[in-house]
Amino acid sequence: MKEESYILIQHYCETTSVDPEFIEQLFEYGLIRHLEHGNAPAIHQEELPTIERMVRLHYDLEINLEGLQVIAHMREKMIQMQKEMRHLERKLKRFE
Amino acid sequence: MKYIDYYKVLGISKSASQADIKKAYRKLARKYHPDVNPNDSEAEAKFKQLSEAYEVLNDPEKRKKYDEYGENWEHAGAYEQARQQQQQQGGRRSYTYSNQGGQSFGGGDFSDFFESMFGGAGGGSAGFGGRERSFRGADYQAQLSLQLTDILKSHKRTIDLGERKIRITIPAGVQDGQTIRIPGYGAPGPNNGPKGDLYITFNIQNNTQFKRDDTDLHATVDLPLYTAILGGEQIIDTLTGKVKLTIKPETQNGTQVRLKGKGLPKYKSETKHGDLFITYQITMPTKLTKKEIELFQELQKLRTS
Repeated sequence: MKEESYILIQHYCETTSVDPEFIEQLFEYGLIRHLEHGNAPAIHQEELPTIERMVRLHYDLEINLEGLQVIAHMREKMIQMQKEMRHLERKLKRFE
Repeated sequence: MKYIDYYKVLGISKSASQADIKKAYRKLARKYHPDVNPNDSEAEAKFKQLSEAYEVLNDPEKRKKYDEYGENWEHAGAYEQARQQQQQQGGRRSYTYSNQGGQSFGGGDFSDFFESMFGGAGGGSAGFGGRERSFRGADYQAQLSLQLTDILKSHKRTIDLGERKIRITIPAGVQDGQTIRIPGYGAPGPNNGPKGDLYITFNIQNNTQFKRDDTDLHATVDLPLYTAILGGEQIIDTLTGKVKLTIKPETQNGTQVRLKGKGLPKYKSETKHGDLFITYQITMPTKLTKKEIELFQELQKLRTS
């Protein structure tokens, strides 16, 4: 059942009309993990939302790969900070 | 229902060009896009407004309608009806669209104002933006027929695609039925999306006496009985010219010899080659003379005694 969590790049690109080269570049820039299923390049199902986000940012907002990298890092930090903030807010409420 | 000033939303003037609109949208969208503002409902709401404004102003037809109806868009229904009646009666007039508005169709993710004026969620409203994403163009498929002797060395060839011609490299050692992809030579992408790719499938006709097995070649060579028995030399054809082979005495029928590197070049490793396998097929003499028969009988006696 392990195979189900993988999606072949070819299938993904055929379904979504996304250029396979763009996905290759996401691999190269370390924005998604490169997997191989058999000999075919594949992505982990969990990374679909990340890819979708990259596709939107790249095609809709014309952000290049370097920009995507910066956004990915900052976004990660931002989410982490939001979590910490919520945690602290909850803590603070206990003292109010 | 409140009138929305889409120009104000994008921070541009009414005389803004299409390029200005796009630039303003991109600038603000980068700031408010939900993907760069995780868990920020304010940014999301702002982005929706931007997308709606862009959906209208980026579409010349919608922009025209929006500009013409302006803030008095609510009174458009009656006007549209009157206009249609005029046309049915054959009246051809030019109209001023001011003080007129659209019809209500409902539905969609945009504001009521948008839906009221343009109906539904407008063309291509999907996901966050309500804007069509640009997609890759369709891929083109082409067939290219080649002779086996054409693939011994990589070489350039011009292909006529109908609308244009392109010059491509025919890789040495390409397989029959193999497809290569030439990125960016497909159909143009909708909404300025990237072009599709061109896929060329090779149709390799074997114009030689050799049987192909990947990079190896196979051939059967007729060997005269006497050469097979006594040994000797035999000239054989290869893809790159004639080769003289030494035949060992007492070579059996069906013996296979390998000529290293006389096969086809390896795909993408042109300097490496497969082998040529020669199978000897011994030809029996026919129409024997009386003398020959006698000699064979003598040989037979020698063998059986």
